[in-house]
Amino acid sequence: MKEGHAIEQLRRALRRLPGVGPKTAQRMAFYLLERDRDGAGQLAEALTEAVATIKHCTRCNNFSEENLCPICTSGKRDESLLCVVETPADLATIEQAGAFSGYYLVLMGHLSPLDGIGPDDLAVQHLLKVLSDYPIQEVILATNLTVEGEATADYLSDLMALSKVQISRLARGVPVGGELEYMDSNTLNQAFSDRRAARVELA
Amino acid sequence: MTTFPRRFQNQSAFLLQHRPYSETSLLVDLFTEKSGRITAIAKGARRLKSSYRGVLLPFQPLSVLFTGKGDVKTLTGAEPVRSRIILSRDHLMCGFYLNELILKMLYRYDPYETLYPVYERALDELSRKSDAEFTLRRFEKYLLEQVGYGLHLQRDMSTGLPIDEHVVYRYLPEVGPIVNNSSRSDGVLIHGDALIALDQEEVFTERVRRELKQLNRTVLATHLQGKPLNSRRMFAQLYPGKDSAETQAKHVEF
Repeated sequence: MKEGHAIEQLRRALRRLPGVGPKTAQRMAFYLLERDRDGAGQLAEALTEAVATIKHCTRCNNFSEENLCPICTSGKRDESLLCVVETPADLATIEQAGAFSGYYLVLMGHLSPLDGIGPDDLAVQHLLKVLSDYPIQEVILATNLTVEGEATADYLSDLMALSKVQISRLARGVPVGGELEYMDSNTLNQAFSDRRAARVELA
Repeated sequence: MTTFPRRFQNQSAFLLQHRPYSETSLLVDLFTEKSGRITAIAKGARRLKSSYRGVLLPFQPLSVLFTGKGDVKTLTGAEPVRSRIILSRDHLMCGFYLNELILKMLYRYDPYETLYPVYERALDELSRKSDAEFTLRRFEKYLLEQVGYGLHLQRDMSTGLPIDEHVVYRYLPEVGPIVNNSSRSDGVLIHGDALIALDQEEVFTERVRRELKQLNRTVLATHLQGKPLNSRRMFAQLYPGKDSAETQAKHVEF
């Protein structure tokens, strides 16, 4: 069966999405064309508009429609704290938890030696600029606790070693509600080596 | 030709690399003790409650079980056999480099049973912040041997005489060391004592270290057929002061 150019182009475009292979792309394309032409139009418009208007926040590097994103313009955040995260999704999760009240910096990825993703592909220069432009006292490296995330955190802390800021890393250990019996051994080992003092000093 | 039973036995393995696959799974490359380098799908590995979480990590000694006839197997179990080998900073980059060498130099589904313990030992040494270059050179030596391109470290290939520690040789990647009296300009110039140090696995002096790096790099490049080593390039980028030869030689291979 020979198909038109437009369908082929649509399928190819859909395949750009992560995790979408030829079969899935075809299913999506046919679905949109057969059952949801309105939706397809909206999708096209939304994409065009997003690509045209969304850029990077000049302060935190997160996606933003303005030069500064809502978090960076809020004025209610703690200027002395900077939290470095890998992706906008990580930032959203931390915000949802309400765990952090300072400013962010989004690296847009992590070092990945085998794929050749190096410091130049991440917002490393951006981080250094933010460090010199704002009165930051503590940088919290909230990269993932994967090997690549650790490699990224190691590299960044070496890079910032000469600056005067305090550098910290997210704690790792037993999750809230966690039962030791079901803990994986790596987490448990880390929890033991990172254990904290629990004695209460009585006045 | 080795034939494998459809359902493999539990065996030791290390994860070399992983990529997201479909919504919740991972596509993993493993270096297994008995079956060599394999690619498998770890179904559901990215789910919050997956038993693979905190387990399917690089440098984690594993015991794995997989099944399937095709090129891509299905992982049916993975458990840690001891705690993770912790690498940091430049030693971590060296660990990535070992993984990349295995991914790019070993044929899939060929068993490399003697290389497996060498890899594990190399990681253990790196985690103890060993002399990383010694560890890497020795691993490269065994790796080349295992893929059929073993280094010639004992005899002059033109005369058949044993290597003399005071003589300068010209090492030709496809041939081996020959006395450097010809008009050739290819290959690598190397002292006999460097060849002997790698053969006997003796402590390297500074000069030996430099010469062996150049030797292994040249020989590996011949067999990588133009495939770049990303982790090596990144090492030079991340730790520029650490290793000047790393940066200088960059243009030679990339």
